[in-house]
Amino acid sequence: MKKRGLKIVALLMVSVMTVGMMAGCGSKKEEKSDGGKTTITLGMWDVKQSPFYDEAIAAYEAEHPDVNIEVQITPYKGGEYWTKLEASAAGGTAPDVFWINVLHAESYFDGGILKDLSDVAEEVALEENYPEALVEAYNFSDQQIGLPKDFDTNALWYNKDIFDKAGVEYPTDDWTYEDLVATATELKEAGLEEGVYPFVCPVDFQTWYYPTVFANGGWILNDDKTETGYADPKTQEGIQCWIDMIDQGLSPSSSVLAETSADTLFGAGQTAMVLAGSYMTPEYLTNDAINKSIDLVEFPEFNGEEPNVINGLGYAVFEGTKHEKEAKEFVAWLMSEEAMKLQGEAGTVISARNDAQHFFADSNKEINLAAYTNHADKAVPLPVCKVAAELYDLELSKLKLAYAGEESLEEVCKELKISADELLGTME
Amino acid sequence: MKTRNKAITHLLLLLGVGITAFPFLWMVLTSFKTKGETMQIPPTVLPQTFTTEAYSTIMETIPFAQVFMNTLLSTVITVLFQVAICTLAAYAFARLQFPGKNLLFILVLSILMVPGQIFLMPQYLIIQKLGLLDTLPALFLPNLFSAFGTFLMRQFFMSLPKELEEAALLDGANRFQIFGRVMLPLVKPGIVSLVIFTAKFAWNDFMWPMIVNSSLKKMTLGPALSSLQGQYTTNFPAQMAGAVLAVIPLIVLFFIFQKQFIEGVAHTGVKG
Amino acid sequence: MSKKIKKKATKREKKDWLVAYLFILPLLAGILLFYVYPFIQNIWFSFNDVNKFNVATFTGFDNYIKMFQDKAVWQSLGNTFKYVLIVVPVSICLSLFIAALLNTKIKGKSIYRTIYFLPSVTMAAAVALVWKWIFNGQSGVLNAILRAFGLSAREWLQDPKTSLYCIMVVGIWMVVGYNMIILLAGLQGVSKSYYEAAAIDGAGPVKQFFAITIPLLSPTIFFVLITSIISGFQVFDTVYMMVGKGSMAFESTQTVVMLFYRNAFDYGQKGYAAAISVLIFVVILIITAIQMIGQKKWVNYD
Repeated sequence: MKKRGLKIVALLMVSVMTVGMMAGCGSKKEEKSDGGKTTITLGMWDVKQSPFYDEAIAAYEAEHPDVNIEVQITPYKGGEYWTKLEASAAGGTAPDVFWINVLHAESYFDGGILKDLSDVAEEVALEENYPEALVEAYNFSDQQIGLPKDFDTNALWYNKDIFDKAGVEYPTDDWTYEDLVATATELKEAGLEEGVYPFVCPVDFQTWYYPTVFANGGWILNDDKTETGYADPKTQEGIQCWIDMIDQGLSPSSSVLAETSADTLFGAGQTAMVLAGSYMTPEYLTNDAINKSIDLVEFPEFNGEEPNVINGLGYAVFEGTKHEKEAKEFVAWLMSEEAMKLQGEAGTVISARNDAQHFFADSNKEINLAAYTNHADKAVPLPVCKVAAELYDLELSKLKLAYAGEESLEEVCKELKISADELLGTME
Repeated sequence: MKTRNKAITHLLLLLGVGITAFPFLWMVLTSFKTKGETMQIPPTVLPQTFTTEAYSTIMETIPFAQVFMNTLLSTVITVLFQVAICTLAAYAFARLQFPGKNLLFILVLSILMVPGQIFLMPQYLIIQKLGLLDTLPALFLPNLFSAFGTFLMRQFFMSLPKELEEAALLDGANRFQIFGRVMLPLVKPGIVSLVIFTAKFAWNDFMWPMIVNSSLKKMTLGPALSSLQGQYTTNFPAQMAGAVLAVIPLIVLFFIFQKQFIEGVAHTGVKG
Repeated sequence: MSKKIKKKATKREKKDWLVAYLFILPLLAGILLFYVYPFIQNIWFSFNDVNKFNVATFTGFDNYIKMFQDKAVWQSLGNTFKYVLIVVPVSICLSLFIAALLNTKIKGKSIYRTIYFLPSVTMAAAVALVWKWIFNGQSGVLNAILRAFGLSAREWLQDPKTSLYCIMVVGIWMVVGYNMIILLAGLQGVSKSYYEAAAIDGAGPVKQFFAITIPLLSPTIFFVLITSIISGFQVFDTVYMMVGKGSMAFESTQTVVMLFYRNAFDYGQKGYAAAISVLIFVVILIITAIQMIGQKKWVNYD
């Protein structure tokens, strides 16, 4: 009779031991050393860029036989990448080198988890070889905590099939906003198929209204990040121009766009034109429903200016890395002409290095990818601050009312400025 | 009269089946479409060009066999331990008297009441201190202990008649014997529903494996499949194919187990 | 119960104590390490300004003061209550009904059970995508069906009036199967002899259901009720995936856990998020306590 009880106790003990043993195996593995090789981990999120890293790492390891590079991919969507990075940084086990974006740069700098890379910056002559806006975006209190690896700008894509059917001329690089509206109207009057729109205007800051706001002389954040510029009529004009297109029936309503993204509509051949960041290029070009009939032109001029917003990712080195020297060497190499060329040729992103920017456009000569890089020097960096994520959400929550026509843009901006300035006040 | 009743029952059940199965059916159909077709508006119901491309994409991009084994192993271990640990504790909470019982039970229950996301970072740090990051045990260790499971089993123990236990005590059986010989067989339906719940949870657990393990070789199915999704837009067929592949083993498990607990126990003559 | 313990414990009882502690020891050890300690840390965090890397600066009640002034907190709490008040009773009644139907002698039982069980094991992310498409205003199948019957189409997920109800439908769809399994397991414990006796007394199936099934099943129903309420208060995945920030219905569907998640993970305000999670905890605790006390009135143990 007692056997049963004993069995249970024994089972439990065995279980505990098994776990313990596995734990033991695990901890032994921690101190792996591949025959004197130093392992450097690189944290990133975009699988589309792994072909480039496979190639680059093979080249680097051939040059540095004592170094072994391990790539760690964690998806961006849903915040897994950042959650994991933050947890591992708190525990001291973050990757030696990892991708960072402008939205997280300042708070990570404040958190003291990023190494100052000023020495690497000097080594690769960062200021000479890289766009100033991007270099500045990762510089805090004279510390270069990130090195810009790539950038994205925006351009106008169009679907030739829809233009051909309507008998309307294709867009050109020298287009202005007025041309866009005129052609969109022409397309609409030519009678598009049901459910197909000339253009789309979602509530999107980076690709739609920030470029026009800045081109119009408007502003979002002042230099010392204490005040927002939503009340400035120039800012409002840069937003209103897109709302006007919805009101004129040239774009689906904001509720349609809240449900089906502009990219999805373009990908399904449901809109003749769309604005899109350069990071959308691989996505569009692999979409077999449209990829044979699409091309792109520069962002249409607004107020006589070339509107654009530039944003980009950077490499950072973890403060707690055990292999600072090797990690910095690897980053310096990633920033070199050679690696930047490889990255550009892969055709997924625009390499940040000035002399490597053209490789992106060269990667596919059939379409006008140069539309992204022609005026990159005039593009304005994304306005960021420590509460940027909250600020963007706040902006969206208010502006969507204006896009839906529930309130006027002026009214909405008045309220938005009050709450946004209040939010800025919470940063010390 | 009886046939009419049965017909009504079937009718009602079939109605429910329609609503329940439709989204799942949609998943299966989508997984056989091309990426371009899933972008079409309005969408097609049946695949225009039937393709298994999504499935081959999955097989090519992730070490499927390895990931599948990790998931299976992690699930089996989680289930075994959780059932053992929870059932033991639940019996004590339901049937034994001891000082601090209510307080401890409230402590266990209160864990259910906080949003699970708060545990992510601290648990990561604990696993890190144990030196278990990026290992198989990291996948299941925190999940071996379940407040939900304890509560579930406690309810099942509580619904059993006291007389059975008292009779056994009079017969001179000790607590271990009562637990193993008398009580455990009677809560079999509870155990099986806990097995199913835990298996489902461990199988589909998503955020935790992603955070605690880094290499694809040590990953489970859910996160590995999601790493397939591009950053900006989604590959719908691959995602749906992934969901279909992930759910099939669970359905098979359920199909096998349900007979066991539903038909098996009904004849053991439990008194209500 | 506790009175008994306070009296001088008999030898038998003392032996029971030992056994009881031995039985709960593994659970307790694991729970203390992996759950209670983080939980206490979380309470501490709620009185601090915590950065993304868990470094805390003490700020006293600041987070709580901010929380009580935050309109979003109250609105999301309201949304969550609305969700729980509808999803919990509807899903329990439905699962009970289906469980009762499946507990009869009927052909194809195991096929039915498997199909009903499907939603609860399918990955939430995939499910949310499918449902999002079903409710889509332009191309959704729901609107297609409505149009076919000559009814007017709506933008279900974009309209603040309907959006939360759509989320509820998905919530119900996802839990009914699993609750049904637990209730079915409970029904197995009810001896057939009760029904035989009742049938001899001339009670019909409906009367039997209310006079025998419900009371004898009450411990299981109680379990399902408590866990449904708790998980209802923690609804997050479906809302997160089905209603975007750009939707006009975003504010009217945002739940407390969603708000917690945004603060903790999107905004990196872990201290404030911790305060919100404490609020969620307290609300659920109060409701669970009420049920624990209330159960004596209707739950039939033994």
